[in-house]
Amino acid sequence: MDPKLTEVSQLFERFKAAFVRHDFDTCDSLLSQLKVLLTHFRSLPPLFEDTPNAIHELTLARDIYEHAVVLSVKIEDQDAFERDFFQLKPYYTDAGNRLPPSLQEYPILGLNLLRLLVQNRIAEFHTELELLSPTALENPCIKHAVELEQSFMEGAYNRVLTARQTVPDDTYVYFMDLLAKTVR
Amino acid sequence: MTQDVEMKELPAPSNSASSSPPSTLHHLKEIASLIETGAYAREVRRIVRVVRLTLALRQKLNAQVLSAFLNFTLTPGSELHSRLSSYLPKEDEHDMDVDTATSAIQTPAKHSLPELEVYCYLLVLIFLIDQKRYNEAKACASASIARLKNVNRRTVDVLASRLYFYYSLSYELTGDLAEIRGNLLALHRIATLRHDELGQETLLNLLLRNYLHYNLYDQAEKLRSKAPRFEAHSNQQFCRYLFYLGKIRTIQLEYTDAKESLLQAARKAPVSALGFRVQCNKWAIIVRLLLGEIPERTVFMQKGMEKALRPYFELTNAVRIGDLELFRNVADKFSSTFNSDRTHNLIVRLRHNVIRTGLRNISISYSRISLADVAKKLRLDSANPVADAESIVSKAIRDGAIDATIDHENGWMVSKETGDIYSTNEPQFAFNSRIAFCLNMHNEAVRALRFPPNSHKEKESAEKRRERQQQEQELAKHIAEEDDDEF
Repeated sequence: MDPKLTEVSQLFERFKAAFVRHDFDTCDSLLSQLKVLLTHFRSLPPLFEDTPNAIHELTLARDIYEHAVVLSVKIEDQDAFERDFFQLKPYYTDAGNRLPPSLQEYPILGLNLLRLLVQNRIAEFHTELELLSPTALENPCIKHAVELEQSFMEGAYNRVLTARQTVPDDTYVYFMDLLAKTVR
Repeated sequence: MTQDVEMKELPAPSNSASSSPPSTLHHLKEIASLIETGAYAREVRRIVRVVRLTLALRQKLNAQVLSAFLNFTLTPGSELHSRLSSYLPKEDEHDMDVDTATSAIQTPAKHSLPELEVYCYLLVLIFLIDQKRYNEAKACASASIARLKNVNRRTVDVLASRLYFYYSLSYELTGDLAEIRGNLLALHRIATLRHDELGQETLLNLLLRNYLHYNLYDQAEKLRSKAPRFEAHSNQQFCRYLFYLGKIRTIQLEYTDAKESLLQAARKAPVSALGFRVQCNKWAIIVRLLLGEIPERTVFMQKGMEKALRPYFELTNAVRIGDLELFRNVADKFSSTFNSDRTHNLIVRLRHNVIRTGLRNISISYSRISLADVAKKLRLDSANPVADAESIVSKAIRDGAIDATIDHENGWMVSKETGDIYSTNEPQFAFNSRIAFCLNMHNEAVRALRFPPNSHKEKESAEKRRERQQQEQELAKHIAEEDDDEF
């Protein structure tokens, strides 16, 4: 196995351990190290070179960015969320057909929709929505965000408030709290 | 001078060739001669005519005529000739031989004009697409694009832009549009560097279409806002541009702008482009509904469109009445149509307009109504309809959709009496905006008037010349007189 790849995987293991312990400061510093290391891989976007262990590297990188997105929600940093999400996106759109689908994909897309809603960027919200397939729209995480937007447009704010109890994933709570604050 | 010589020379072979195979080949040869004159004289106008004539011939193309034409224009045995004819099915060998023999004798000098080469590519490509042999079309198109990259002549531009179009079309028909995106971007860059405006226009549209095909509205909008814009060269391309622009605007919730460009696209489109106009109308209808307008019945009754617009007609009806139940039924009933038109997400957005209209109807008909009744009339299906209705009504009031107040204690919605509108300034404002519109229209019309260039200048110079000549004559007379005096 490639020594660099081993190094990244080991670092990522440490990152995950810190993540489980809720030690977010360590996570943050580990994450920036990881991102620097990722730039050495030539198979990642935007180069997409066909290296022997491209699939492995891509999967690993995607995993790392997924964790980064969730981390940014946990430390409640919206700018970091946006940055990490845009770094993650090519893995879903451009490399999607080469990798096995990720379990985290829909929750994270839903989170992004929710973020756009919270920041009142409705035009971008709809642009993102157009990119999703009908099957994606059926997913509870994404449906949640879409229904929220509808209630918002109609003005059924009480539905928004009750929706907080029915979040599909506990990472959503942060944005829902923000949303509830705006509604009030 | 050279042009005149060409003109005299060229009709001769095509006239004599017309005797054997009647129409199509003859026409093609005439077109070829037209291309030559155009190329030598550097007249883009002629090439434009060529494209128009070719499209008229499109129905009549067949393998036999095409290979005869290839033999006529290209050197048999050359690389290009063998490659192009490999795409054509071999049939009627015997017939063809006779034909090529005659034409080869008549034009001993073989032309290797890039215009003609490109034109041959174009013909073969059109033929392949019409025959639904898309994979071969793809190969042919890619080869032609590779050739085009090395040719830099203004007269090729027109043909090139058609080629780009068919290139993209052949890839779209086989469903791998994403493959050529990088290529198209490179071509667009080349066209920009060569100041090939028609090519830029065509390629920009193709790129937008490419992006929209995959719903990449973000990228499309970024490209569109960065790409240089200039006065439209081709009406068709301009229509397409407007349509894509309208689509992007709709997704980004800029409905007013979207409506403008969609309606303009529908109006500018040629009458024969029925499919395009139907598409434009569908989107325009939805955008107008989203804006809270109700399109007139005549929109749906346009000739040839009644059937295609039927789902949208029923949708409009549901929005007009403000009946959520009916709206839901229509959306379900035609969901496959809406999905294939990719308007489904927009229709989901409409739900809120339905509620608005329903609420407005209620507020007009009742001066006071309980919130429970409002919920029942709107057919809100949720756990707590009264609370829902309360917040919906309050938002509508805040947005200014209805003029009413809520009596929270009794759970009533009280509509305010609508006063006599003619006692306010309202009619004055409406009148003012109409006058402003008319004046604007007049100004624009005046600005759009076109004068043929240099027409008044020449007249002036003619007058001046006469004046000058007169002065010279007088001067000469003076000098002559002076000469006389001296002697």
